[in-house]
Amino acid sequence: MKRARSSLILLAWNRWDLTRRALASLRECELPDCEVIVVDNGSSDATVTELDAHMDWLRIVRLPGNLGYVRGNNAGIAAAAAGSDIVLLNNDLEFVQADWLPRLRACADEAADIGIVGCRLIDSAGHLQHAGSLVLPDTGAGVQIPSGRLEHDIGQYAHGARTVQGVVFAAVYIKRRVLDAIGPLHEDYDTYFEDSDYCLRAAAAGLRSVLCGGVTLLHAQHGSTTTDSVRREALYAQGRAVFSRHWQPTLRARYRQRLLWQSALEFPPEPAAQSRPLIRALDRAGVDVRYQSLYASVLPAALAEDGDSHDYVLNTLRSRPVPSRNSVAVVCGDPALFYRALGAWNIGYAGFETPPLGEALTDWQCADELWVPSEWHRRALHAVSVDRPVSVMAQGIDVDYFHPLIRRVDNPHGEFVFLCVAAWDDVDRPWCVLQAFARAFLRRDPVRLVCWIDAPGRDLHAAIAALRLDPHGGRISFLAPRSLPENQEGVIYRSADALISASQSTWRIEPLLRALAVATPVIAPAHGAAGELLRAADSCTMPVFHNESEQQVALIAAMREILDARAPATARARAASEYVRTYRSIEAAAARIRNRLDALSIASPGSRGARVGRRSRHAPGRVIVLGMHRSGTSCVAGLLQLMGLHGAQAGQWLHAGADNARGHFERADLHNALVRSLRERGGDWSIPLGWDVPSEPAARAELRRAMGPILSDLESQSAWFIKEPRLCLLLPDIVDLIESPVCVHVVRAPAAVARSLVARDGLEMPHALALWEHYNRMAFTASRGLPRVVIDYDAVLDAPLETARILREQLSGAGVGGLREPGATEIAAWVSRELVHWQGATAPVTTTQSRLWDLLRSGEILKRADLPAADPSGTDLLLRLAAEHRAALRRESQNRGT
Amino acid sequence: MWNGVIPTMGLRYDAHSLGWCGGAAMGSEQCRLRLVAAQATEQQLRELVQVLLAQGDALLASRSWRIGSAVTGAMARCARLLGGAPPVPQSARHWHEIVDAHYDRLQRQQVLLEQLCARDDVAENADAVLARFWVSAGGERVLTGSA
Repeated sequence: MKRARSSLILLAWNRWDLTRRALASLRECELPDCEVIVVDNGSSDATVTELDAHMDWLRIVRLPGNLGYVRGNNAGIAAAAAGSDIVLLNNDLEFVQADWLPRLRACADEAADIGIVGCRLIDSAGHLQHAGSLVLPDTGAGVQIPSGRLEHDIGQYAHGARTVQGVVFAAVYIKRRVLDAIGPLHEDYDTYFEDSDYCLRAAAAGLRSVLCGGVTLLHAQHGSTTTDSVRREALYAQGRAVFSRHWQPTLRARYRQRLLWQSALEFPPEPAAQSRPLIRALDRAGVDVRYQSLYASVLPAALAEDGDSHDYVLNTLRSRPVPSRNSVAVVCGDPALFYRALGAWNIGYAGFETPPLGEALTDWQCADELWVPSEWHRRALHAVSVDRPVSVMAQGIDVDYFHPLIRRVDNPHGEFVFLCVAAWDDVDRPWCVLQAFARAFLRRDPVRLVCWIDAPGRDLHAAIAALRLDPHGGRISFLAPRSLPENQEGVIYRSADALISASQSTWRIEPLLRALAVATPVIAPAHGAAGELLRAADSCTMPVFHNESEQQVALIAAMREILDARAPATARARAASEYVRTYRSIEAAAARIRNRLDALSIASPGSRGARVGRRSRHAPGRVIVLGMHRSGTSCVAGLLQLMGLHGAQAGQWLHAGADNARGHFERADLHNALVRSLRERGGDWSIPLGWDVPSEPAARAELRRAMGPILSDLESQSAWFIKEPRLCLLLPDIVDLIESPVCVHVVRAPAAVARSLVARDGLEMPHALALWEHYNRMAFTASRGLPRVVIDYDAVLDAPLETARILREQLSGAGVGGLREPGATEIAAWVSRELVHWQGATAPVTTTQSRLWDLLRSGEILKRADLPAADPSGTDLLLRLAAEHRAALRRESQNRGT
Repeated sequence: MWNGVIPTMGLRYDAHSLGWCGGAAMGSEQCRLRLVAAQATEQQLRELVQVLLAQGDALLASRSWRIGSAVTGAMARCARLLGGAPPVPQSARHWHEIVDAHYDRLQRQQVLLEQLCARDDVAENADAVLARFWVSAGGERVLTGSA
């Protein structure tokens, strides 16, 4: 009899229904040179009798009782043919791939140092269950796919074999060499963690574990313990404890380098998209990554990262303490925040569309070393005389999620599908593609352009309607903007026949990398990092034209060319995919970084070059936000914070109430000082006139005294803002204490403000309108002679990106230096229309108030030497209310006295 | 002295500018309102177009038009024999194709608006998203053979 090369050991404990299904599907598979052994782990159900019917093709090992997973399998291993490889199988598997065994065997034979081979496991709902297990030393808990999430199976990890820390033994091929080296499973374990332990022991013996992406089996997980969650959890906890005891030091020792990564993992999405896969890859590459949000200081609390990255590795890494100031820090994101680096050696990592000059260049110089995404960027920095070392760290692609075997959802209508993935902005200018496509093709042509467009802060629907595309031109459809989780996006790229881009960006190459990785042909202008990528991958290239008409002509020619020569384009794309997955993988990017870190650690700190003292980035800037209550001052203050102005430390803000859930942006100390000062004068926010004149000097002096520590704290920051509506009334008392302030007046239609006050505070409408008028008059009187900006809250809501840009430009023009340029996603996320109330509201506004509003919203108010006369009825009303208020205060005081 | 104004009117939504297409990302309420308004407008438009098409169909099918077509057709054939290039006579199909193309554009805009209204719902499954997408793409009349 021929000696079995592989012994298949299927462990069963009750659940004959599962075992029967597993055996039925197993018998349909190709099983050359093997024996099949079923270990009955002391079953008490039909397994005992029903197995006998299969004795013609398998051997049965009956155990007297349930010895547990490990001992049960070890019994099977002991019974296996001498010298055979071992294949451990669970009885809750369904063998849906007939050639799974030959494939696993081939994978095991690929290299002498491969000892253990696992496979992909999916559940019956189409979720990927397993693609290589991972245990981080921090938690001692393991996950079966690196993200630790439930991912819909799109073929991720299905490309070839990759070395992993461990595989689950629900289905595993173990070469005899491993058994000879380390023996059977470790009997310290009962059911969980024995597989990870075994893989690590094999690795210690020089035999690695790989996941064979070409094999996928169906797994009804926890078939034997599914009904007993308490028992399962107890077994898990026991296994975890044993595993941690054995392996935690080893797992910790695999880190060769430590790195502080300052960037984003969730928001803003652009740096997060770059950081997430790279950090995961750095961990795999043996770099102990610590994380800190780079944007925490500029993001309003409502936009701040909540600490959950929905990813096991990232969440584990971000829970690690930030090291003291003796490590290397990489600041990946906005160069305007490079100055916030916390390392002993700080590396700024970013790209740019145009070479930095002036203040922007100074931002780059805040780092000790610079990493850029392409040679184009490196040359550009040298051309502007950057005196820091510059390295090219090309962006990588996570090839586990972007490869040619990712599932393709074919267009059932048989059209050739062009895909355009872009941001709706002047850099990516997707409208060029739309217009070119509509011109290049007729409606009856069997082609379709699918647009997957992000348009934060923009009205995409109106923008596309405004293009007035010829309805008789090529068919164009729009896919919901980025409505998929990152692990699913590969399907979109794979389901297209070609990717088309008109982007003139020098470094936004993510769509190109993704399309190339999944072997979808690419048509894109070759410029900057994109040019280097496309040329290296020998992909189709097209010149970049800044003139949109010329670009359209080039796009039309390229689209027609690819349609006329589909087969060569596809062949070329396959070759390009090979290149990208080999040289531009995220692993390759992580390896480049690790090598650089190695070089830095070899060089002693003293030999890293003369350190230029880190400077404070901002030129001084002091901004006072003035505006009536309910006028949108909080929204504008949030924009100022996004621009990098300091308002307060986290604990210094006034607590946000339900009426302004995203924060007032008012310092509590300033708020309290202003409230107290008004009270001392016999007024409050709604009694802004008719104060007690004799008490004013003392109140004024007290307010000035209270401002001392507030301003001292603010001055420790180089650029700051204060915002409090009561400043409209009291600024004259303190303005001389602030050196060179700039005033930002936020104005809003009187009816909207008044309606909001009536609803929130229960004021009478005439009172609310009089307050609106008085606050604005007082604010503009107080700011006279100072540099000032007027911003209409409605304009912020209608056009947040443009308004923020102009606000930033005007503040810069007024001498507020070093303002960063918030990204479109940041602004769009902050300026939420959901919070808008009373826009377009009506109210009985007087002629005088209406005239004042005209002056405010047109900005004419800034040109006038003096303000128009106040509405006498409003003034009278406020004075009368003030008198009543003071009388009430007196009565209250008397009552307290008695 | 420096003074700056961020004007109101100058920043109003400018749908005809390609470089900047203006307007905040719509709030869900605003989006829903626009969707309802677009559906109502489209319905009115379709009713009007239907009336016009019906009238056009009746005219093009009338006895006098058919006689006229036959006469002009014969004349056109003669003209072509003599090297002329007479204009193609109009047909009901021609007008229906134009209307279908415009309907499809409206439909695409409507689908986009619906997607924008529902964009907070992140799908878990790319297969389902694309399957739905292809169904909406297949709703275009050109695929049903009218063109």
